[in-house]
Amino acid sequence: MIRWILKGMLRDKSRSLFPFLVVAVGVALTVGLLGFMDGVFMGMIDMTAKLDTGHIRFVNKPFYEEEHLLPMDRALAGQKKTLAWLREHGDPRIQWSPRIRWGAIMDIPDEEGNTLSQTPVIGMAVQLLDPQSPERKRLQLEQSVIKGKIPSRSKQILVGYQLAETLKLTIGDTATLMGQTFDGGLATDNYTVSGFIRFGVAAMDKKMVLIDLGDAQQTFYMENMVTDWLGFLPRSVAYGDYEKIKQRIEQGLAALIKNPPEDWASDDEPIVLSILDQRNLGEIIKKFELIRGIIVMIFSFLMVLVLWNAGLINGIHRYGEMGLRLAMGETHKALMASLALEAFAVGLAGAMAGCLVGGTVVYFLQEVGVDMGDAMAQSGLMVNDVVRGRLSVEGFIRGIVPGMTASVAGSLIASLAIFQRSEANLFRELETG
Amino acid sequence: MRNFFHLKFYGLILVAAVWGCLTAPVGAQEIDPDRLLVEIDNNMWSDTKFVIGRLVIDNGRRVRTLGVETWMQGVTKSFSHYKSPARERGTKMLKLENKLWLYTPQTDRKILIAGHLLRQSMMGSDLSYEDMLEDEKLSQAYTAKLEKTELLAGIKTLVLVLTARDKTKTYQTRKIWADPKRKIVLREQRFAKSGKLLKRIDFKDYFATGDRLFPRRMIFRDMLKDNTQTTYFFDEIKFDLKIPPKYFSLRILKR
Repeated sequence: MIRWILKGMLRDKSRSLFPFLVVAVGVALTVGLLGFMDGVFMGMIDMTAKLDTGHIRFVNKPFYEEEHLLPMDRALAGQKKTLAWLREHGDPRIQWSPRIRWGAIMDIPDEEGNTLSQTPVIGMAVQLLDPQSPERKRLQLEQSVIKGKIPSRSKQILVGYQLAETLKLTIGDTATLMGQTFDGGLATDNYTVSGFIRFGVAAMDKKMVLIDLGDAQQTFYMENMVTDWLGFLPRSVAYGDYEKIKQRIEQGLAALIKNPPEDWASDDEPIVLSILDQRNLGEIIKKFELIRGIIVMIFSFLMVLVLWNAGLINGIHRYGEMGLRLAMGETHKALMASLALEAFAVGLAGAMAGCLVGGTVVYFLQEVGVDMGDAMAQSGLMVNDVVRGRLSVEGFIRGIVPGMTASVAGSLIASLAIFQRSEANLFRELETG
Repeated sequence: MRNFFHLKFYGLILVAAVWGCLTAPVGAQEIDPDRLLVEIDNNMWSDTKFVIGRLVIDNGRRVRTLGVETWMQGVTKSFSHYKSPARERGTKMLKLENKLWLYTPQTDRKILIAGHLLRQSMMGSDLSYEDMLEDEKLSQAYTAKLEKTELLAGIKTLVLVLTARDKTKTYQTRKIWADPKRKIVLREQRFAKSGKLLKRIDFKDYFATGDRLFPRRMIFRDMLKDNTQTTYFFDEIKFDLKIPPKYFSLRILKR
């Protein structure tokens, strides 16, 4: 019987090739599109976490409320004690990194030390000098420094490559930073340009510079102080779990605020934020998930529609066969089960082929990417200029399940026409045929 | 009877005249606002000036005191040398015409304050570098118009609205509360082109020095910030002294 069905399927192209192609194309499109969307979206989350918010952020509330002004005087003191508390009360999977966000004027001197050019810059201070620092790997500094080298000595600075072009900087130039100290005084310091960095985000390449955390603490008189504690979670932790991890830290926070480290200011009140609480990412995620669901639904619906019609046409074409099989004693249910099995097999083959095609496209997008250049810079989102796809098991499942469901559902809906007919009718139609 | 009506008529005129005098701006009839502005400038400005002072900066969280000595020549040249605290010691600021340079011992560099930097807070105070650059005679930069009279700290003042002659000025409008008798300013408000209040300055504790009246302290408030104020104490002030030209040369901007 199985052999007979297989032969029938292979010989009758309308039973195999057409539904196979429909499922393959549908699954390929779904896998490809969702893979690309996932890539862009997860790229945005990764980029935002690495460069800006971490997955979990521990920050002083007065600083956070005015962070657009980079109020250094709202930084959080007691660096070592704070880290110890975070390690004790935070999720053990979190890797905590202290950072200082700062803003200053960068002044470039001529040979005689007079001002040649100057511009406001946004800066981030991270642990740069230690070759074992996880920040180096996290920010992919080895790959991102496109000229010069990562700072190896104190008072060296990495400059966004577009900013460097604008200021006509060369490696080894002096750059003077003018900003505010922790207590509102004037902070000025000379740095040596050690390299140009490509963050991959146009806005940052044009405005941002990186210095070592210890240097920033010295320049801005922030000994034992940082503006942010960024927590990074492994990739295996889904963003849906961030809220729970955040809440766990919050549970112990009230006691810490009540009995704070002695270095904290009286009005210091740290808060815990997940990446979804910041930069409107929570809302963006909700919309993204909605759009993803709609896309899957549309593709599934179209596939069901096409396969249902294909099944109907195919069913009419096979009325004689159905009548004969019923006359030979096969039940309606067994007949439908056989049709569903047939559809399942074709759906599986189509889904595999679709995954292969869609997966290849996503893999290409993941490895090579598409350079969107300044188009993304205008969006204001922290998205890499080169947008990439993301190949994942979830992506395949999201393509295969609707593809196969559509195939089986289309066949079942079409076979209802046979289920409702009696053997006599089908026989008559066979004779007429 | 006729005489009675005459008396009543003249009485009414007298009452009206007294009422008019009481309600009219003090001395408004005889005081020309632009002339008053010139007299105020004559009191505050001299050919040269030397000040030993303190800038007490309260940013709402902490109070810092900077010791500073300033030499000024006319409205176009000034040199400030910060003496304390240790961290700011040796910082120098030189204004020549419409340019401003900053020297800090940490960098051992002359930094031209221009563009974005002009709007930054000067040494963390409520003053901006632009404030320092636009420190000039009001009568030369603005035209005055009398708005009203007002009692300020028990003193009858004329409120003058000053409009910038130059349309590129940061503060297109200023409002001053002037004491017309002593030719001094008690309060000043500085407005942006949009009409937004940006700065408020209170002039306190005027004292006589030579034939002038000078405030012992000026309190600056940046109205865009909350709970901040900077008080400039004039501990010692000398007018019309001879200042060596080296003070107004770029060469002074070094260790």
